[in-house]
Amino acid sequence: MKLNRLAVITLALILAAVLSGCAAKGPTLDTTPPQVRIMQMDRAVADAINVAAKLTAQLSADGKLSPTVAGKLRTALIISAKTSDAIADELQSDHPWPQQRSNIAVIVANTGLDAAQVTDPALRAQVLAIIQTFEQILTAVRQ
Amino acid sequence: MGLISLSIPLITALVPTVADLIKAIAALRTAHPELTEEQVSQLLQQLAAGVHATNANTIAVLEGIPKG
Repeated sequence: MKLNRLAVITLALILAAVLSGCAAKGPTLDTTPPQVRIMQMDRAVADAINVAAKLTAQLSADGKLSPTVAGKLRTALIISAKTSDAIADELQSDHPWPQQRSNIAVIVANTGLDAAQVTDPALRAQVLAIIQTFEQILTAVRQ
Repeated sequence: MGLISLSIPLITALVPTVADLIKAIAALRTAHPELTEEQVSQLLQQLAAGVHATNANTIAVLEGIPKG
């Protein structure tokens, strides 16, 4: 009987310790500065634009994309890549964080990307991923 | 009496284990030390270099596509 009680008490102690550890872990571990988080998102958007550019070039070369759509995507993706460069430059500038935030919000405001005219599913998904990541950056700087 | 003599070594064996566990959890609960300004600057520089290199490659690929 005593052994059973002892085992129950020990288990309860372990459970309480584990639960209190888990509960406190989440909010205290994220100390990443906002500039670094935005730069990581910018890295993700740059990678997504790169994949979309290669897909556009491939589909265009294979004749699977109309010259009009390919041309529009070409322009929009170049603007997007330059937007991504501008975000990286702003994050490295000497501007204080509040100014960086508002400047980035202006930079991201209009990339001209539109997935509506893209019929290829892979390219469409990629364009949507770019738009979504830009929106995440916009949300992050507006918080 | 037999049970008591059995439980003493069990307590002796378990107490250090529980103490270690609590210590490990306390270590997990401790927030990671904040990055210094210098470390943040270096990190941003590295990430920005990657962003610029990728975008340069992207623009080179896109310039190969006819303007339409």
